[in-house]
Amino acid sequence: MNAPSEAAPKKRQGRPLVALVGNPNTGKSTLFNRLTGLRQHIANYPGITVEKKSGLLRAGGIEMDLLDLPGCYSLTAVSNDERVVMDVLGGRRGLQKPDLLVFVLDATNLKRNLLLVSQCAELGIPALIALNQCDAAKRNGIRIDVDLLAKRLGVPVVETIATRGNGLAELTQAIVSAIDAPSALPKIHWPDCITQGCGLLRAGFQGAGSSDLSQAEALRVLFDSDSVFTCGVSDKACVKRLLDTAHREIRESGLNPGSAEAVIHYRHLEALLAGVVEASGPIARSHDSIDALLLNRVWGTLIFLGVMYVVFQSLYSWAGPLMDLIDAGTSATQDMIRPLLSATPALQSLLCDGIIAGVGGVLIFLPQILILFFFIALLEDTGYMARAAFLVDKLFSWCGLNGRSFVPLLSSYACAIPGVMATRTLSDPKARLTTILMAPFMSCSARLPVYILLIGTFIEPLYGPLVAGAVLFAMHFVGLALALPLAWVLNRFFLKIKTQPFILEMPDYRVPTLRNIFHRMWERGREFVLRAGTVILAFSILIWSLLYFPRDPEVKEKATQSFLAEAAVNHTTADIQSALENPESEISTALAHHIDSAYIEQSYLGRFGKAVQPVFDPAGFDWKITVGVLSSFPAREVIIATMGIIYNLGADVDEGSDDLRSVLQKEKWTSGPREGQPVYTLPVVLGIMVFFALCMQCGATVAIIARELNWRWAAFSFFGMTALAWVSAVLIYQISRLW
Amino acid sequence: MKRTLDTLKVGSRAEIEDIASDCDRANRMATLGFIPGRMVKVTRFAPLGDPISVELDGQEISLRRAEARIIQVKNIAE
Repeated sequence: MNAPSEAAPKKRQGRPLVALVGNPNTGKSTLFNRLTGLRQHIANYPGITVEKKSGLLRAGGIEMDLLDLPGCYSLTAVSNDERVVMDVLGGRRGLQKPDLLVFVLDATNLKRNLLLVSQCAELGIPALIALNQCDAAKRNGIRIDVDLLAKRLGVPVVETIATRGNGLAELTQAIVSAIDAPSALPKIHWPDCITQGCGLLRAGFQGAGSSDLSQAEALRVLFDSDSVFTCGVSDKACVKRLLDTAHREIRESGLNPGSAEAVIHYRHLEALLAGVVEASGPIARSHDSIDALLLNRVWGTLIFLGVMYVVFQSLYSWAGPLMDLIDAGTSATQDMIRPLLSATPALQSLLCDGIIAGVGGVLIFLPQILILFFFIALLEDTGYMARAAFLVDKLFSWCGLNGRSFVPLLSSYACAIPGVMATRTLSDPKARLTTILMAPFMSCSARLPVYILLIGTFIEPLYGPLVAGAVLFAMHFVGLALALPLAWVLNRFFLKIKTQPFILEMPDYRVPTLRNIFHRMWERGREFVLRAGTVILAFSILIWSLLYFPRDPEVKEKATQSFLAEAAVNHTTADIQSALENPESEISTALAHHIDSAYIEQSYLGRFGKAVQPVFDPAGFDWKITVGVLSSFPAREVIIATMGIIYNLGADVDEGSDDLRSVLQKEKWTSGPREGQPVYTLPVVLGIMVFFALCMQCGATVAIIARELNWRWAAFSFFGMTALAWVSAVLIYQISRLW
Repeated sequence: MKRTLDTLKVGSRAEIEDIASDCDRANRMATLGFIPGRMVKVTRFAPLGDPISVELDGQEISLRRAEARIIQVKNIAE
């Protein structure tokens, strides 16, 4: 091996860039994790939300940047994932062009895997091949003559088994050698009609004043009618004319422009692989008998329901104790710090109710995220995820989603945060976008306390437990029932992204490795805390300040006076005096609650709530409900505590609190045309519940949507859902008045 | 009349004749291995009838009927 000084880069700036390229399901990411360990950096590619995973590879005395490109079957640049591959390989849009490509190929399916290699050969970037899953190929009776393959391809070929770490040393060695002495893949020999077509396009694009096309890019334009390279050209008619001419020439040569590229590549590959791959008899596929069971109409469906039940239960119930633990930790920290800062109440409240509560509010999501990604990694690594998507695709295909939307939407019934994060498994950008927008409509567990409080207070006493149960059940479907038709409308009329064919490769069943699963959990957990967490924390501090300030001391004095005047009716002055000396006494607590209530009424959010109450008036909401609704925009479960404060009961009430329930039942309008009438009539109660079912009252979800898509979509989702919630609540109230 | 892949019954085998060339999905389907001359076997339908699963060149691939419709087949053995 060369000493570092001798391996001095030839006019290279910084570290050499090595990119891993390959089809999905080849073990490319496992190999990447093995090579870089935890020295990884995850970011987004500029302008699009495709994850850019890079890491540091140290070997042979040099440091290299290793880039894990998204898995793709071909260079057809339709999806964002594929577009990124094309951009990186072409060194476009300010991205650094790799110095070396490492193709990770699935040895059990060499021919199809080599198609991408054959397409990339056109780019002329030095390459080497990692022949992965060699163990599986041997088990399937496939023998590969590695030396002959390397000779035919003109680049080094290394056998690896990424899951076990076999062949890693050889691969690293080969990467170091290839950086020093690069070798490129031989380019395919195209028929004349195609070379001419490319020439025509390149000349035409130059004439149209757009950026020049390389030969490799011209081929993409020629074969993908909606290639990204045509997006930048303003004169669409010109591109179409050029393509029509080029395609006519291809047709006249007896080829089909739709399949010509693949046909020519595969013909080339069949010649290349002759004598290299030898399969003993028909390929023995291990998964046939398992598929017969798992994809069976009856058994397959039952097993699917069972698997999904376990996933859902684990999120909905099993995460509970962990979340309680985090909750208890947050309270304990607050209780510990509160007395230390009693001299500075504003700082005390900022630290305890703003920052610590906010951090707790971020960490509370971690158990569900980790558990969900444990199952997603498990289901994907075993190969079941593709089967699950196959089984349920029809349920979703009519409204623009696909079979892979199932797990994210199901998880959103526990919590939309992990649900939105789980949409990473959807490679179709349109289906992913739609699934993300639908996820917050699923009735998450944070809505449950609101339903339980209102149903338990108003519906159960009137109509009995049976109706109460039915209403609770129905509330869980309100969001879904609206979301799917909305998805259809959105897809049909608004989204201008091309629908992609939903094609799934059924991978071989494999035994997952714990290492891989834990890596996925760690990666997602870290990303959530570092990226979404900071935004959620900022939201939480903002809302705290709106509820805390201006905190005029006069408010406290007035509240105390009015409280004492009220108390004097039933108690003697001496009784009150002695009770107030004991901070634990009933009267002291009631006074504290009274002051809290006055403060919230006078806070910026309280004033805002009163000011916008007319907006919610058509839904029958009074100012207290309005403030409750507004204060629960960062997190919907907050409404219970806010209601507690507003109704002088303190923040420590929960949905089962009898005090809160009886206060709500007695609450009457104190002014206006409805003076003296109860506030919480059945239409108002239903309106509040439907409002909570449809409204995006979750700062964390807004933050995660902004993270996964962008702020524009997050705003669209937020305002869209809020408007929908308002319209629904108003409709319920107004229609009920017609009776 | 030309038969397309979506009209085959479970268990049928056929040879791929061509892909509808005017379809923008043609290139994608072809690069996955749906090219003229190859044999394809329909292995199963999903419980709700769509998508369908086929065996192609030793691999199992699932595709929707809408995509199967652009693949013309011949020499069908049902």
